[in-house]
Amino acid sequence: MSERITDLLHEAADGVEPGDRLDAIRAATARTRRTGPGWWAAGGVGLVAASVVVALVLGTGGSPRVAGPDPADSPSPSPTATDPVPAPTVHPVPSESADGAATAVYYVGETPDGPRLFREFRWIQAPDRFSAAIDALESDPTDPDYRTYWHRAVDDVSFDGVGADGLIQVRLVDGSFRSRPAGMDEVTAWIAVQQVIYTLQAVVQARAPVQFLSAGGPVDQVLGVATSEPLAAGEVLETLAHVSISDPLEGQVVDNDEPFTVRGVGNSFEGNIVTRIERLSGVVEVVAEEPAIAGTYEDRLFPFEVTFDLTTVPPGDYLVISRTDDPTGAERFHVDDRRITIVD
Amino acid sequence: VPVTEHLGPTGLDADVAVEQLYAAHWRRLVRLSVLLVHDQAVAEDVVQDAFVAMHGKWSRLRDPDKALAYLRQAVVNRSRSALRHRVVVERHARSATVGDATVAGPSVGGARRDAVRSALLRLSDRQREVLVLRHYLDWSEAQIADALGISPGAVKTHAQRGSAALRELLGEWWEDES
Repeated sequence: MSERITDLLHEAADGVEPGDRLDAIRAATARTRRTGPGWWAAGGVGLVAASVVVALVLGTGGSPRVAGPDPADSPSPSPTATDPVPAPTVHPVPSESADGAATAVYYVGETPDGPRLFREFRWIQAPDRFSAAIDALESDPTDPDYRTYWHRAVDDVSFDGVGADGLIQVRLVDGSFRSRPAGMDEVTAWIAVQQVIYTLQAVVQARAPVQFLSAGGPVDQVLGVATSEPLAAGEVLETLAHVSISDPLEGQVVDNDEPFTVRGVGNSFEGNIVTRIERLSGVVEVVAEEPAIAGTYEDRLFPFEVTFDLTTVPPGDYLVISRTDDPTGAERFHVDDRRITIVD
Repeated sequence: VPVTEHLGPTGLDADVAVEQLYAAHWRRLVRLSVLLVHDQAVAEDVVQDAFVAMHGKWSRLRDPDKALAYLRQAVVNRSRSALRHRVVVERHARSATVGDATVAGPSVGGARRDAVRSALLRLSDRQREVLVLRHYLDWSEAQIADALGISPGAVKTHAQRGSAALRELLGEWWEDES
């Protein structure tokens, strides 16, 4: 049966003679030849005069919001910049409304330091605050740069107690998540387990330990990671990517008449997070670039926010890229990006 | 131009990487996408976009093997979204125009090819992706699990259900091994 499928698929595909698109690809990538990889080395030098910079430093108290979408008609939760963030937690306070609240869901992505967690926001409805987070954890992230390891993994989640004194209990579907699959290294397995811990702690808004269970009780290992005892979240800078964009969302449509604000969290040398907007589809070019100050040293991520004036930017598909700084010159940047569509 | 002239401290230049990967993998990647989206022009668009995106991310990839892995992943992901987009467009088109659509029939020689591609379209996204990666790219279950972000157990399940569904959908095309 298996060989028959192989034959049929090869027959169906190998008759296809693709047209030549090399010139089209060259044309689409031509503009980057001029700027080249130099942007990464150039740091926060503005290539295009662009607008206001709002730098948020935690501890100054204020969160001067320049121009935000009306929460009533915007899908963007943008919790980090709009709400005061309690210092000891990396989790944003969800923006609440009558229908529910936004919560952070963590996915695995790549950084120069190996796999790390990036976050996306999902809307969760009361009363079952866990189910939407678990659904998100079990389905593909919006951003194709990320991945999840927990498809159809979780049976049930419960949380007892209050705040960090409580215990989050996660019952996995069956034994298939016990051992580390072939091809997955130990670091990735550990990060995947942290994906669950960070996501569920964000839901309960507390650094409560997480106990993995199978049908019979505590399970001794998950993906080969020892889990007999409840697990704590890993240190922030060892677990999370050092930059994570909260706003815009992947695929968001942006009106170029409105000031466009990019928000996120980061931890970088001297607090420098640089955000640029690149045109996609057709010609790749940098249309705007802004530095912002997040924070450094402490084991947490700091909010940052930059606002771009897009009035001269033509409609089309763009990539918003935020990255950390690297004083060593080795270009070991943590990077997060979002595709957006700019419209008139 | 000798390739070595483009080798800096960070390895290959993005443009050279694109040219080399294009020469080696363009045809196969388009064929991969054709199995996933059925339509050749859409497949070429998908793979072209993947190359452009790969060029843009070269500073992070810097390695032809990683770039190829990125391209394959991008082709699978973009094929899935192209398909979803196209399904929406086609549904609109169907509801907007009643009865005047004519679809060119397959040539007799290509009938089985077309039947296979059409049958693939009727599988779930995961079943189609698993079957294509397993049987066209000859990937292991572990590789597929990693690429699709699902467990090896899920890969096995999708492969079994997908194979059974494909066999059912193909009927006599499956049996006739001529």
